[in-house]
Amino acid sequence: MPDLIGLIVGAALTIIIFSYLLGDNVLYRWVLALLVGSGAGYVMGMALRFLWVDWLGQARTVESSGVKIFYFIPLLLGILLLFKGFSSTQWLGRFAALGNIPMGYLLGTGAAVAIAGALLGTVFPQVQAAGNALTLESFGGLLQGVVMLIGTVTALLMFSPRDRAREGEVKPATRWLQRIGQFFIIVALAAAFAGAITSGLTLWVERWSELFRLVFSFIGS
Amino acid sequence: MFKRFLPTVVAMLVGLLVLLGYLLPVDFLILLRDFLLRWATVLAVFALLLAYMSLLRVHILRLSRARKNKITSLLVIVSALGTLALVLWQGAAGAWTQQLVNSVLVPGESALLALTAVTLIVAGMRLMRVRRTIGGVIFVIAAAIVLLTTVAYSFYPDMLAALRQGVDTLATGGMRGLMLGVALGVTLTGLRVILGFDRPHSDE
Amino acid sequence: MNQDDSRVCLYCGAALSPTGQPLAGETPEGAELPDWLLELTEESTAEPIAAPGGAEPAPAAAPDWLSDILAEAPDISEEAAVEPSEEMLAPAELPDWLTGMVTPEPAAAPESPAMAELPDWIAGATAEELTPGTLLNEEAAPWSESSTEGFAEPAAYMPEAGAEMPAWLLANADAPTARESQEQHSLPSWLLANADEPAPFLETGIQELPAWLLQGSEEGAPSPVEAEEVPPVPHLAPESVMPSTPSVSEAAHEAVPDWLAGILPEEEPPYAPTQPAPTAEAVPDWLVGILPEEEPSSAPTQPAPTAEAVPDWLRDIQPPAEVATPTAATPAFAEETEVDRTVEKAETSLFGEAETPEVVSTESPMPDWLKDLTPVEPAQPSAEEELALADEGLARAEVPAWLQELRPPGTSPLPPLPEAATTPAAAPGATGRLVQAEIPDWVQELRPATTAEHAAEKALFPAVTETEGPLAGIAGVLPPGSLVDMPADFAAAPVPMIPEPVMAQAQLWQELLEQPRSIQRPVMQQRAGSGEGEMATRWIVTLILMAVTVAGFLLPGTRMSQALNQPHIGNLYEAMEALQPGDTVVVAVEYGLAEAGEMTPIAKALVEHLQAREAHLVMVSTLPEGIALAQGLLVTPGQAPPSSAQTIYLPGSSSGVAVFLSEGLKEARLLVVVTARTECLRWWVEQNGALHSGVSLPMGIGISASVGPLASPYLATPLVAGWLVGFPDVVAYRELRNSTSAALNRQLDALLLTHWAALALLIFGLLYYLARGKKGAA
Repeated sequence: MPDLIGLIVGAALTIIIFSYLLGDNVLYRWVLALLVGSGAGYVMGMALRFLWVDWLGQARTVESSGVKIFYFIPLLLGILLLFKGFSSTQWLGRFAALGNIPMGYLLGTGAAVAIAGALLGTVFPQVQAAGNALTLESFGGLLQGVVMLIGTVTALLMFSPRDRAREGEVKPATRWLQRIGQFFIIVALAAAFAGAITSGLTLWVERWSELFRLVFSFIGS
Repeated sequence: MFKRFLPTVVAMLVGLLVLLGYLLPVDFLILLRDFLLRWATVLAVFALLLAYMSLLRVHILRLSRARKNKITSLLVIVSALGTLALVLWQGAAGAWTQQLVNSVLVPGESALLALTAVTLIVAGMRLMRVRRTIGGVIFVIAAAIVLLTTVAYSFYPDMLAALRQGVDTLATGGMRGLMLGVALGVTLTGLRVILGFDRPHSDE
Repeated sequence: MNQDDSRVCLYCGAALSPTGQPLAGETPEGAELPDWLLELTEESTAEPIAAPGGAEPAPAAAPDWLSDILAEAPDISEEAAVEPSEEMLAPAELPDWLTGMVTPEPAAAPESPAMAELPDWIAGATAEELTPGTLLNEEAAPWSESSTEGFAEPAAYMPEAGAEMPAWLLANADAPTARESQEQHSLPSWLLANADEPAPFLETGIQELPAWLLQGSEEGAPSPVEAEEVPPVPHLAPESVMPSTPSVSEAAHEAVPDWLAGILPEEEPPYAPTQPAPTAEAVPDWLVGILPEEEPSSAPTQPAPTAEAVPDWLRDIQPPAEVATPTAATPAFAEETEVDRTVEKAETSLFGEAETPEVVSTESPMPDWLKDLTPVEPAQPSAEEELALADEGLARAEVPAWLQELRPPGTSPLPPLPEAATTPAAAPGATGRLVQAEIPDWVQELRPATTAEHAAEKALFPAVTETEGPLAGIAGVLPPGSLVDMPADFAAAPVPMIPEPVMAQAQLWQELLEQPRSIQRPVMQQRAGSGEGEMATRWIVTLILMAVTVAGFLLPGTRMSQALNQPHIGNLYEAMEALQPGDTVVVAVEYGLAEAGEMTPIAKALVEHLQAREAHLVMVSTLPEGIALAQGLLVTPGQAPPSSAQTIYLPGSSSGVAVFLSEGLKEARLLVVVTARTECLRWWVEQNGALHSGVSLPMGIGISASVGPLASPYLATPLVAGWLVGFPDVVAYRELRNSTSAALNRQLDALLLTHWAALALLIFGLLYYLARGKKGAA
């Protein structure tokens, strides 16, 4: 029975949201608000449970007060971060500048992780992968590797500001490289566009299948 | 002091220590890196809390001041607080939480994302109306080939697979170039933050 | 009720005015004074330090400045004479500060602008302009302020008819009514207030004078004669210097009570170079004891009353030992339209309120409690000491807030006065005179330059005559803002040249703004047809998609779609099959609620395979909603959740991934990432490569169709064992495991049809608009 109720509720929500295709309406906006609020509440609940159950739960199991400090310092920094949520007209807004300290902490760690990940996880492996694609096992494989390498290099050249800065001095070779790079990027974006359509269509079909399932469940019963 | 100097010092110091923990195989630096990253995860939770409070504040203000869309704001507030209470009570594995997720949130949000299929198809149809260039033609043709070969069918599957592989080769080459460019940009931006040239944490 | 001819109140012992005493103005002499004041006056004349004419000043002997003031008096007295009625002095109409002390029900007071609405510094400035009369005003203004402190504004409670004179003064001038008042109140409230609040008022008032006003009184030598020559200063100047003020008349002199005339000196005293000091006659006896002894020749003095001059009722008053600290109230400034009248009333009010204490001499006997407050060594300062005291006083003045703001950078606020200096008795400048205003040098520099040393500044910043406000008519009272704001190293910056493009743009804007409204201007508008066309297109697309979807689900027949077993799918399957029971596998569920419809089949196919391999699952997610979705993956309908699985939330995005990978992968054999977000896949791939360089975990990836093309470079790395992209690969994977179903096949058929439909629509749009473009070009 709960499954049937859930099915009905899900079907009703789906129909209301699909009604947007006929035009914007009040029910659609209400359901949208319901989804936004529920999603935010769910995320917040999970975050608070992490703090209470996981983090503070570990802190409670620790007996050493020195180690407990390790658990409470980020909480203190987090409280400072909350000051940034107050506007300057409010009393607590005076301490908003204190929130810059944990913000700096977050950005510092995030930047370091991003640099390490980009260098060690993207640049080096991708350069290696571009080289590995040049296999001599078959002509088809070699051709494929060469094409991919050309695409990588020419697409990367599109990031170069030097060529864009001297528009009047672009050499024909450079111009052709740019065009080749544009071609590869266009194809890549077209594939991404088609992939997005595929994802949307998958969801579209999945929603309709749920509706049919509901209908069949009523017919069958 | 608290607005610029101290946050910048903290960002630089923490960033350098974490980066060294990645680059140098020293046990102490690795331990320190993990130590600092664990604190960052807790701070990220507070950042979520900040966003949640901001959402609530905006809708509470709209509820009290705005003349329109009061019901919308009320729905947002009630659902946000109700779901929060439910998750705090039962957790993610609770029966009611699972029912809420599977019966309300997943169907609703999936339906929202499904609308993008129609929107994207309409946009793809009207692309040539706006940008009638050779690039536009290449774009539509490439997208059409990908759509044609995404779901294989019983007719000429090998031919379609070869066609798809050719498109994938072109797409992967271009995407790798884009990815390398993005990675280099991320590296440069991160270094500017760690070296103190950029101070986004100081509201600059 | 006392008898009309009684001189002493039967109830309180206070001296009463004689019965039938003429109203103020009717008799030039001091008949309107109460007896006790009269006695004081008479006895004070016998004192050796008495100023000439102190007791019975002839009206003609009054200085000009006083004459101007007195010119206003007839109106007051006439009004008082016309309506000296009892109702005017009835308790209900007494000022609140009087009635409030005695009458339990304070009367509602009519509003009238009065001195109480003037700022202190204006009141002080007004007093400063009158050199001799300053004695009165200087003591009066603070007194009135201090006495009204904590009460309603006294002037505001005065009746309109006699608003120029306070009620208590009118009461003195009007004997019968005063007597009635005294019958009702055993003690004059104003004296009670004074008795309760002794000397300290002397410090207030003038301290709040701006420096330029203070200096003006010092340097400008505003003797009354000169003051008359001052250009019209209607708002600030006292009545004596206002050209619009009626000239001196006999009636004006008569309007002044004799006791007031007695206070005023017959002749102008010599101008004192320093701050005019209050003399003994300006100080009530209860204050004299607090203050150091007076220099006999410092100012015209009032005849000192003897001990008998103190009325009995005053002797009976035994105020508390502590000295009330005065607080200078700063009333709101009066409305500008009422300024003249307000100043008139305020002047009169000040005079009226001020003179009463003067009749008490310094030599009058003091109560013990007052003697206790007398300074131990009332040193007689010499001239140099006076100057030093004045300087020190200036240095310690309470600078108003607006002057504080003008304090130059680098200076610090003045240190607080020592405790002893703040008390009136120990005030250094309170030796029988007003406390010198303590204004620092840097404030002094802001006053209008009148000396040669400021000639250059004057040349640079000519004095500007104020045209409005309380300073209207006074030139150079406020320094130009640039003098204050301009830094010392100010140098005029050259005007930057405006680039021509900016000028052209500005001219274009100007032309546009100058166009009249009637001119039709092109406005970008959305063509009406385009919106409708887009909506129609959307409906058509929707209908087509719905039709093919229904057809895919409902049409019977053979299966149209075919799941191709591509190499990456087989590789992933083999990696899963290589797992042994009990191996730890990390499954990252990195998709949200919106993508669950597409991703759940992918994740479910992989998790079911892992569960079939009896692997130990560690379900993690950097998304909070991913934990709930992971829980849903583990729970099979009708079965209990596996005990070998655990779910972990990893906040902090890439930092959370890094922490988990560095700590929790010691025993893991495979890392499976199921995601519909490119950044999440990047985090896992990057951190797996960064943290475990050389020993990275093999990865299996399940991604959505939208992420597939974007993540294709990552998929082609050696780290990745295999992957699934989208729903078609799920069906193919399930076929490898022989776990496919008819529902999945129907769904794949519907997906195939919708893809064909989308393909057809895109091609149609391409051809249609290409053909339409050719037509347009033709």
